[in-house]
Amino acid sequence: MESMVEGRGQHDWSQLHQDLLIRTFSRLDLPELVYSGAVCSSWRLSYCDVRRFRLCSPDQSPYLVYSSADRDSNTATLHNISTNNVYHVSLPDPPFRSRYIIGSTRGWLTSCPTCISSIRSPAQTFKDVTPSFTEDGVLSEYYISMPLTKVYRPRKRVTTCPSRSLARAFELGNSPIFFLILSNEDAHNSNHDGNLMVFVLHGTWMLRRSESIRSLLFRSGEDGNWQRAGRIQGHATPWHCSIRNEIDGVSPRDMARRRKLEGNRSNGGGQVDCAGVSTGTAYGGLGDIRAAEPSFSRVARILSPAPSEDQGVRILVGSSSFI
Amino acid sequence: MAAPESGDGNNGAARMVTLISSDNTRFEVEAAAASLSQTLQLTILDGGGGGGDGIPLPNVDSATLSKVLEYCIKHAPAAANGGAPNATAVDRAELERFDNEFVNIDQSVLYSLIMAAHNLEIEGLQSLVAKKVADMIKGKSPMEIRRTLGFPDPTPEEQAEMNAHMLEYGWAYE
Repeated sequence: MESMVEGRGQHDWSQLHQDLLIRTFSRLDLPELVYSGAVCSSWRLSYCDVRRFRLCSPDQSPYLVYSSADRDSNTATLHNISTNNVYHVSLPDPPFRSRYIIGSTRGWLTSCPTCISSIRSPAQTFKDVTPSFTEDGVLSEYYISMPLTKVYRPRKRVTTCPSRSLARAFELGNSPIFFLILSNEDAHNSNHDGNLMVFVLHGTWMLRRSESIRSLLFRSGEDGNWQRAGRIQGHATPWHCSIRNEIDGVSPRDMARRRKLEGNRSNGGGQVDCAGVSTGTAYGGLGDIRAAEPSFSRVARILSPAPSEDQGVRILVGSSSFI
Repeated sequence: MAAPESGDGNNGAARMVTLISSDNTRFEVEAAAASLSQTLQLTILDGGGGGGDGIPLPNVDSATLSKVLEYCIKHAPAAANGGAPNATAVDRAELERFDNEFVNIDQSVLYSLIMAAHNLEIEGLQSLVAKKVADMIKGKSPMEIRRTLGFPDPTPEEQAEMNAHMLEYGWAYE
């Protein structure tokens, strides 16, 4: 009846149902996805939902994320390798270029500081995971702190590895933290009432090549303590590891599927094969997690564990797909 | 439940239902086709729409309804096959060609179709129109999107909001 009353061409496209808008926007790639949020306030709401729920298209092409030599150190360059479009996103301090990117899941880039002293600082205690939001209510960042030495102490096997060795691992440019997963909850709870879980995979493979030791830690928002979830079975090459299912919610099938989807690109450089978790969460590092624009990459791999400072291109890749 | 099994088409003549548009035009279609609409499906399963009754659709005019039914009739066989695992590539290509052609329509018709797909909850059609709208948006700036879809000129408040957004995501506009 409405459509009869309205004259031709009088349709109000700002009043499209949210359902349709969300379906529409989740088909968009950059930059149109961002543009859709600027069209009008009603579209912006749907746009924010698409971002918040990470509803990006599985057809979205992958982006290379790197620090370009001709930009300042806070700028992350996103390179869409199918369209060849390049975007330069300015990220908050500390400088993007100075950070190790240790992975990305669900569109989040995970980085950790390179400065060992900041990791071992006594001031760093188990803090809550602190989300921060853009004005649109889109989750833009998390800060997670995690005192590395404390994490290591309870691990018997690792006690033989003094933190000096750990420091050396860092000097060599290899983060002992492989990656981090955030729980799905993050996407749905903008108020963050403590449901967020953080999984961390770390290890000391640098120290013993033949017997790489990794363990999976997780921290739930409820009690705020880090717990050891299980040992990780590493593959032969140190940088190629997968997570075995030793905790509820990590489905080997999901991981197998993810790996299959990602293919098995092996490179000269080391790489981490991140296994995604469907009911659980994302990978985490020590220090903090930073998000680039949440809609791009979901799972990332480290192509090169230790690019030197003077290299313009430091990092890595995201793959595209969501869900 | 008197409703015949949908889709096997072996019970003699397929069951027909009648749909009545907002301007009182009556459409007689196979129940299997109309059942692509989640909204209608239950009514039809309950035996509604048969005989002289007809199911009134006060939100859909006859032009739109005939368009919607064109879609449903085309897609009903594939839907009845449960996503058509045994469909040939030719069939799928044909459906795709049909879909592309189907949404190659005037904007106001598209708008009515969007509303009808939503009201009638026809999953495939909802995806199809969303894809069409996405294609219309692609490669356009926010202002171009507004112009394309016939938005009025932005009010100063709207303009300020747009500017703020563009400032925040400046990198996407470079």
